[in-house]
Amino acid sequence: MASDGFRGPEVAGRASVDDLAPAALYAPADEGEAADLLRTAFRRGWAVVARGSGSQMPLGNPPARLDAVLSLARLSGVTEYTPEDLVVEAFAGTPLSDLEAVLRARGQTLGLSAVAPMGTTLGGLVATGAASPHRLGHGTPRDRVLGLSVVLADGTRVRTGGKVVKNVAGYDLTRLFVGSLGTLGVIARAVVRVRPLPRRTALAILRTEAGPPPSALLALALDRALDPVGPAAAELVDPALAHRLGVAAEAWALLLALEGDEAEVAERLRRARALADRRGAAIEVREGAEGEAVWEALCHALPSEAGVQARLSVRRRALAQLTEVLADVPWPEPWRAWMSVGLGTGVVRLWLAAGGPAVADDLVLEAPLAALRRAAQAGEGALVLERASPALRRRMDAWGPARGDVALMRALKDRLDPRAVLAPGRFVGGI
Amino acid sequence: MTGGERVARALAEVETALGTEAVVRSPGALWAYSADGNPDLAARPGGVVLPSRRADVAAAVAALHRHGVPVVARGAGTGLSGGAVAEEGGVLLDLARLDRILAVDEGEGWLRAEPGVTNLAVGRRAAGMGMFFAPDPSSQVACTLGGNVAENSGGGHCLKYGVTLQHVLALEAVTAGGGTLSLGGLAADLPGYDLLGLFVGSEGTLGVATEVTVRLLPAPEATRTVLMLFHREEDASETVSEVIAAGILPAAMEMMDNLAVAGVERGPYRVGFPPDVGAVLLVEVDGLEAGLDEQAERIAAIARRRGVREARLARDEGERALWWANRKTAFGAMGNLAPAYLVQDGVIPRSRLVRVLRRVREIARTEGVRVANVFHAGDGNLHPLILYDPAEPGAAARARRAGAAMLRVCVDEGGSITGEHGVGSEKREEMAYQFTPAELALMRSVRDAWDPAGLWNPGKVLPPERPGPTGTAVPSGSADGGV
Ligand SMILES: Cc1cc2nc3c(=O)[nH]c(=O)nc-3n(C[C@H](O)[C@H](O)[C@H](O)COP(=O)(O)OP(=O)(O)OC[C@H]3O[C@@H](n4cnc5c(N)ncnc54)[C@H](O)[C@@H]3O)c2cc1C
Repeated sequence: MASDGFRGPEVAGRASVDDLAPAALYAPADEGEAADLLRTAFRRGWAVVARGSGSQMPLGNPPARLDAVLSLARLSGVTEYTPEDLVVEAFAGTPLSDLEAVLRARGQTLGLSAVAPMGTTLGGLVATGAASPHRLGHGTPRDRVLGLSVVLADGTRVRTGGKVVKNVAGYDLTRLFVGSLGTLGVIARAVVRVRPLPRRTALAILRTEAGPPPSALLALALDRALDPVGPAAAELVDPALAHRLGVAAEAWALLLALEGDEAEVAERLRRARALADRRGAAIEVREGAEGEAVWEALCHALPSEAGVQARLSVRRRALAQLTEVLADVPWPEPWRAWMSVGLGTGVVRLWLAAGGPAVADDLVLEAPLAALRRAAQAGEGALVLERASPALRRRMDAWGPARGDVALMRALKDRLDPRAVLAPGRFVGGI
Repeated sequence: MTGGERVARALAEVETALGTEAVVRSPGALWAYSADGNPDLAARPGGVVLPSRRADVAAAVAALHRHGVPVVARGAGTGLSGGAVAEEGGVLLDLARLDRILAVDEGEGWLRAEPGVTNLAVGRRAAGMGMFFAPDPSSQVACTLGGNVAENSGGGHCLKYGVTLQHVLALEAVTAGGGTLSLGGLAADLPGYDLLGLFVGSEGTLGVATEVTVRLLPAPEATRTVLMLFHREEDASETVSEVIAAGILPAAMEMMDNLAVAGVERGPYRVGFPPDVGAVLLVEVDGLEAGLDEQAERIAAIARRRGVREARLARDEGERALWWANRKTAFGAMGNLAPAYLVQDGVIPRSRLVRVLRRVREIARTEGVRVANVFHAGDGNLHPLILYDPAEPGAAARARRAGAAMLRVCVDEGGSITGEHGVGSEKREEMAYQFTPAELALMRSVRDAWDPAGLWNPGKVLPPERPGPTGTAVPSGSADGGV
């Protein structure tokens, strides 16, 4: 094993995953070194957790064991980009902001800006499978990642998928690794299908009032009245969040991302106005960068600030009811909540921050969050704790109770990582 | 006990549970089930079971697997890679009777059905609600939803809307031994590995889908269909990549070369293409009415720069339907040109179209076969149709050699050996072009996790394992004492 990437115990403390400090932090310079490390770890039975920028380490359950952290920070940069094919390949440690800059220079975009703190890497995006509000129009990483280079638990290097948009040769292993949070293999490179930047974008803000969630807007989750507007994202934000994002003083606000050619966006705006009219909402439009700044704040600023972040997803028939339940939760002092309700997706983001500088104990949130989890389950969905103290995640299980398919997940984990060296305990059902 | 006896005992149990009319075992009747859409990959099954109720599927699988009998699901048998063929005396599970649409939810935008329902029936039901089901294989009149799921099928409109996987929300499956499993759901982002994504496209090797819930999309409010005739195939290919590079995402971009045009023009849906046309490009854009003409015009402008000979906008729905029928019946129309054909399904990055089509022609010339190209150009999904006469000695072998060489070219260009037709038994050897032994071993462990005894569609998708000293298969890696 090359030793220049190895960092001794003095640095390892800073590489803690939750409240566990690894004995070593390893930052390989290339895929070969990463494979060497995993081969050694496998032989010795070391538990290894991979990290990108470290921005999403609190995702999932705290690992059951931790011996080494494998940082992908040095595996960074674009390895292949063919704009005319709308395909890019980059190393896992590439910061999304760097990748996006390369793409934008050619009039393209990843179109996957996840709800995650700034600094997130491509590998982090793929490993978590994190989706953004724009999934409504652009899909999720699972839809857009075409292929991967992965180092398996025993150090074997494999590639999955390819560089083409259609491919049914063998099992879709790419799908298996996306969102597997480093429990099946370490992602070293990813090939992603990119999108042309829309020629025009606009943010339409439909405002109602403070008070209970506006039923006229919540109804849009089911009545298909948004279809003709065709937004790429449709998020209903509560008055506190609307205020925080600067889109309304103190009112519920529906944020619609409108994209397309000039004429198309003009038409979408015309329809959004008519819709606002019919639903008794005021409308304000922010064009281009001004509108995009709001999405940036929603996707990146809040996750950086909030101590606790949860993702709730339900079938859309259950969305209105869940939103009403959410709006009524009496959060214990000093916790304050913001929420964003995906009307087209059934995904709700909830951020909780404790006012004031003191580090607040988030265990007081357990009871209300457990009640919300039950509400989400009643809507055929789930509540996932995406960020919280290790203690709270251990008590509640970040993922919640496993479903009937967990036996198969365990069987896959046992075959791919028989010694449970990859992020043991971090995933669903104790995997 | 011989394999035949095992099958007989298992089928007797199935008969007791499902009734005699649910089992076919007379050799004459079984011949009808010996092939799918690819007649070269035939094998007579050991028996056929035709469940009429979903619960029957689990009962039949439990009995068959208890006796160690392999089971192969079959939808309409339109697959082109031998997937729905039971090799080695396995039993076919014919799902044709399970063809009910079980539920629809217009508000949430989904439809739930049994696996034997046809793709067209799903599409019609969706259309009745002003919606559509995006995957539209050319075989949609006959092929089933279960088959679409198993093959992760595509179609003309997958360029913009994605293949089957992007439209499956949930499914119920019967797994090895007859257990049942639910995957996915109506809520997004359910925690866990993407087992649904693994099942879709697994070609019946992980289990059988008994209930499928698919997403329906709002029907596009307007469509423009443009037919473009080119003198030279290269110009059509360049037009395709330039349209994509210009940031336009058409719903469909389908191409046919001169020989393919000759075939379809002798078929039932004549458009009246000039016989000397180099290539025909069928492009469709859809979405809001506003801006659609401009989009169509931008595409036409690109084509003009590439010397397009004629570009025509479909006058009405009738003309559009004719153009599509002409395109969708292209495979069958090859019968007008040669007694037999082999279809390949390689994928390449679309910027390499010109180069790869040239290589395809060279290979055809070397092997002395004729090739017609009809394909999903926007996706880079080629369908070289290799024409031959089986009566001519050695012709079939040359066609197969040519096909294999074309797939190699696709892999060398960074593509895939199959974009939508699946590996089946046809391309299992060619899997080794695209994947390393370690990658194939990984796929094998995935399969073993679902089906340790190997009783679901055995022999399909993955290449045979290395024969051991006694001729028996050994798991890769163990022959030399492990790796
Ligand atoms: C003329 C023609 C044109 C075609 N055009 C296209 C095209 O444009 N795009 C495209 O993608 N394909 C195309 N195909 C291929 C084929 O039609 C598709 O793969 C189709 O989805 C197969 O459906 P089927 O019901 O006929 O499946 P079958 O052929 O019966 O089975 C295919 C595979 O699926 C498995 N299977 C079937 N049902 C189930 C189930 N319920 N659960 C688990 N496994 C199951 C079988 O075991 C088998 O491995 C075409 C075929 C023909 C003959």
